[in-house]
Amino acid sequence: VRQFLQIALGILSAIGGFVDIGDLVFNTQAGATFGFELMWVVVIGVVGIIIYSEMCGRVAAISKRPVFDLVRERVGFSAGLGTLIASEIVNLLTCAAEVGGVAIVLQLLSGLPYRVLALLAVVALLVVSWSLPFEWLERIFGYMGLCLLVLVVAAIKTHPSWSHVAHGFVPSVPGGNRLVYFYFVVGLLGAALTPYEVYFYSSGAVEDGWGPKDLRMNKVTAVIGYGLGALLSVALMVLAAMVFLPRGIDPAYLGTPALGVEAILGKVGLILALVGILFAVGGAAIETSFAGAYNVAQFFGWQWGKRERPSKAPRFALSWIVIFVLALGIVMTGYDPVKITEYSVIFSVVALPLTFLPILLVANDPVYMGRYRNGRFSNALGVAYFILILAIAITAIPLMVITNGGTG
Amino acid sequence: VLEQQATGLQSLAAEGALLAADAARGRSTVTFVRVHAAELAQAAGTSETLLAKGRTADARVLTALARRTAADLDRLSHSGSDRATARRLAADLGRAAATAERLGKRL
Repeated sequence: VRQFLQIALGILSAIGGFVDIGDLVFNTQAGATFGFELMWVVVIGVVGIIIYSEMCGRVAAISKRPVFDLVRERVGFSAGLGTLIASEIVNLLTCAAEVGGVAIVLQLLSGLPYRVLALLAVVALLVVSWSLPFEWLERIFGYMGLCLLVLVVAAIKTHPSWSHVAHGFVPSVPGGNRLVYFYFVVGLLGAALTPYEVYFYSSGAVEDGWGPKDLRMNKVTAVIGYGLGALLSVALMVLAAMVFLPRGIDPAYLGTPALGVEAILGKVGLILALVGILFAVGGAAIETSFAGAYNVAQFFGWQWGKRERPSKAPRFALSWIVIFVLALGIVMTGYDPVKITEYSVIFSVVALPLTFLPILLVANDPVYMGRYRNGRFSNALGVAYFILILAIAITAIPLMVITNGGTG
Repeated sequence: VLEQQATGLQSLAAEGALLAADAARGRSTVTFVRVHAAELAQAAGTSETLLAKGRTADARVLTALARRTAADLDRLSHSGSDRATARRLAADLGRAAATAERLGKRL
């Protein structure tokens, strides 16, 4: 019963924690631009994150090695350092986007000035990250993020043609601007396969002392948690397709998805959506700052861990604090967090191959994994996804430049 | 560039119309309307500044439309819980969106 409860709680927090600012921006824009046409990308993205999260959770449980430990060992110091720098830039941009997102939602709820709220948000995030244990952080932000299930209710209440929605799950030749279409394909995959989730998941598994007995929980949490979390992405796309596309609205603001919910469910829906976005984005801000600290500490072999007292792992504690402070600096420039999100998602795609390759290699290595190494099916999927990741990594930045960030 | 500005203006006006319609029916919060409409008004103001640099007749028409849209969104932002004003602004912004769409198609 206890293990079942643990799995259920893990699934709930995974659903609530699935959506971050990247998903909110790209799924809403994709639905408002292409209707249901890009639903299939959500499925490909979520299967990819399930495969790699399960793999890195298994690697962490069996080899007790987190991702950046493996990156340095497998790709060498120079390439590893390059991956570290790229990952840290992406983590910082993502953290800034999430902090900016928290400030925007607080402003939509309170009406106070944006910069004051950004400062308060970072102070609050620092305090809760410092004082609360991992489980509580995961539960508070994950469970409150479940308010986003209001998106599913709103999407259903728009009464879409379900046969048209179903058609969206089959890849098709795009009707409009093809380059913009492919830009959104890359963006949606990038938003689903964010590297920080992998770093955080893997390091958390090592911190929690996972072993072979936790492998079932790892698999179930990854499959069901991320799978149900993807429902939120689908709901965002349906809502945007039904509310924004017919009116010609290009959702360029974080308040726009909440406006879509409000249009269908009224005031209660609006408040639930804003609270859900607040906690989803706030939780992601914490994850990105910790992911950045994990990466640096693991790469340079420092003492690390959220469970460690800051006096025992001072450089690790200082790293995540510095990431928050730098993110606040970026937000204070007044640069639009939605634009920062677009850049961070596209740049994160470029850093994906060097993050995922070591996981794939070690998950296949009998020396590390013994009888828990990848089976044929996992391997085939892992390799197929790695080829896909390479393809989108090569095309991401050129597509962003050519399409002017998806505006055509 | 003018076509892009027309499309952007249509989007801002349409989003404002949707927000105003919700406000008119009491389906939004005063704070959300104030903050979000102000954001849209600022974007429409930026669009007006850009369009004002154009010298063609279409640019002048779009500039005037952007000015009216920015002013309507600003009024919406300050409308508080005045539902009658919100209703009138919803209609005005809806018409502005339709005009911007027509202009965009013609360009």
